[in-house]
Amino acid sequence: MATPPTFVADYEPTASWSDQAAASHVTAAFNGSLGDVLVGLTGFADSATSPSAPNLTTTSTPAETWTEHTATTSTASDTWLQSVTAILSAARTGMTVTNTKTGGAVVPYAHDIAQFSGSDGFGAFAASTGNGVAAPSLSITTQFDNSAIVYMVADWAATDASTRTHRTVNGFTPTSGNGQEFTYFRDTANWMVCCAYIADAGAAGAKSVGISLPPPATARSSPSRSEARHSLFP
Amino acid sequence: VPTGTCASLDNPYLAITYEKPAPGGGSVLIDCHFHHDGVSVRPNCDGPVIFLRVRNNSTVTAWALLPNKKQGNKWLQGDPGTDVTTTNSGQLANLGLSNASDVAGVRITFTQPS
Repeated sequence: MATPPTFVADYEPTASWSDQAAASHVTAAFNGSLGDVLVGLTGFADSATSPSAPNLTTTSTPAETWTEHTATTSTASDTWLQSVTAILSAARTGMTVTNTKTGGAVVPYAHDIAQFSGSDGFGAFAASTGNGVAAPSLSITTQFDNSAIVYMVADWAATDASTRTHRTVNGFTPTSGNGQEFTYFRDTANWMVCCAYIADAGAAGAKSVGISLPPPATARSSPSRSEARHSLFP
Repeated sequence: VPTGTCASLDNPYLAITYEKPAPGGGSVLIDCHFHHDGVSVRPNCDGPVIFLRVRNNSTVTAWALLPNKKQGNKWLQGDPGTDVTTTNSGQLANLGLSNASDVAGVRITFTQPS
């Protein structure tokens, strides 16, 4: 059995998850070792394409090579999410990651960087849009045994997910209490976001991640959509 | 972002909720409820705080960093195993947390701020 990667920590920007005014958001400084992998979960609270299509650009200091992966589709009344990844090419001290808004509507945007050690690299990536508020899920077929799966779920309608339950994969059910859900944020005027990881997805193959809300889901506004976005690495 | 205005979304209140895991297990939750001030507009709805809950069900001390807090320390301490809700407007004012904008941008840390 392969050894799964080890989650080190997540790094959020110092700006609020509700901030839409700043041109870019920068994480607090952190350290890393050669070969650590970084998975950035980025998103807009709305996928509106006016005045331009949603677009975020990730850079870091010191510079690393960041790869953007397929984003969710820009659908009306949905959030827009994308994952980005990098592998540290050297040990880093005081590293920061910047997320710059290079397109999209004037709405809140944010990112959260998850750091793992002991990884051999990345595997599959997936994105999904409009999964419904009660049980947004995302299917992904992992390519390697004992991978971790990192994912983000966001809701355009800012649904109350205080009673959320993450889907279980290989016996792992992320919660904030066990640290496998590393961020939950909700601003009823803007959006709801949660970020989590499956520590060990088990044998390579089809998996489903996401959250469910026991009925009645407490929707405070119009019918909502959700998107999930995750990346996988062995 | 949900359809509506700050006023129409203020039903029964507006809210900002933020939760982070703690080292060693457990988590810290900050839940702020507020009403629209009648002036602010989305995405920056603002208004008087009517409910502020800080729950730390971990075994370590947490600090809520409040970069927009207008008076006193820019942080609040959450002791291990505590679940404190404040609804008294005078008490909130004394804490410098009269308005939602004072709470917006909150971050949680497990290292004492300097």
